[in-house]
Amino acid sequence: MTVLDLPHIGFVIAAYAICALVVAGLIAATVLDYRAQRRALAAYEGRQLAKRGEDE
Amino acid sequence: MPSPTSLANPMRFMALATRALPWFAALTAICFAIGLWLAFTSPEDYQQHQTVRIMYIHVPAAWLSLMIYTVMAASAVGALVWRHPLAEVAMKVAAPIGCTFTFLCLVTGSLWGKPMWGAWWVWDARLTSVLVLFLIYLGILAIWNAIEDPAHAGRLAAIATLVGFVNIPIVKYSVEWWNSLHQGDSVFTLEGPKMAMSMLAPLMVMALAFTLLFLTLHLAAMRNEILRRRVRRLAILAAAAQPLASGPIGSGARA
Repeated sequence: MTVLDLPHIGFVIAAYAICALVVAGLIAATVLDYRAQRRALAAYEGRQLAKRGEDE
Repeated sequence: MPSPTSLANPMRFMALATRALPWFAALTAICFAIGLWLAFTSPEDYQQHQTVRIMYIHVPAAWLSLMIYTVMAASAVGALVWRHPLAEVAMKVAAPIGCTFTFLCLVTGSLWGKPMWGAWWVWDARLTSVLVLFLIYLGILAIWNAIEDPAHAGRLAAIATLVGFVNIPIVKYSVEWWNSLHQGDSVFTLEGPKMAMSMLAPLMVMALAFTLLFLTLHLAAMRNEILRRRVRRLAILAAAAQPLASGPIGSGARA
């Protein structure tokens, strides 16, 4: 008898798989958002520095 | 050691969050590794068999759905009464995380209910009040996304959060106030836990892992939101510094 033959094991696997997928998605969204904000901030700060250089 | 009031400064908060995040993430991973190992090596239940293992994710997700809403309500008070920007940031970024854990609570509960109760869903007081909590989270997210001005959205979201807090004791005590198919409290009771240590230990470690995951995600999301607000401010300043389109005012009206 394998693990997959245990009664109702499909429900347990499905619950853990959905949980892992959703948590991984939440972590990925947070990391990607951080990178996007850092990129946007760097772009604006670079533009500001360039403008200051032009003014001087 | 920074004082609690100094942490309310967004710059200090950013520095602290950047230092603390790797430690929180590592602790979360360690707790999940231990918790999952305990969850899958603990004995099966004599009635529920293997399905009892769903408890180790369902119960922590349910606890977090209530705890995160309570954090949001406390932050809403801070945002409305003291108008503290960090309180508003904490309230805003907790909503999607809380909504996610409530969703996980509902889905894992349904996957546990089908083999045990014979139904994916029943209109029971506990299940229905958690569904209402999920809808409240969605409503708060809708407010943040529908209103462009963050200050206006923040005030409305804070009021909605405080109004919605009435549902938290309903969720908690629903199994005592009404006849419910859902079982009552079996961990935090006056007589102590009604659960064997072999199952209580993995449950508590998984609850700690979920709580640390929330703290890590919340800190990271607060840092993202502070950066987003800085970008927004710079975008407004950049737009204000742009010269207006050429031509006198009103000249574009003629055909």
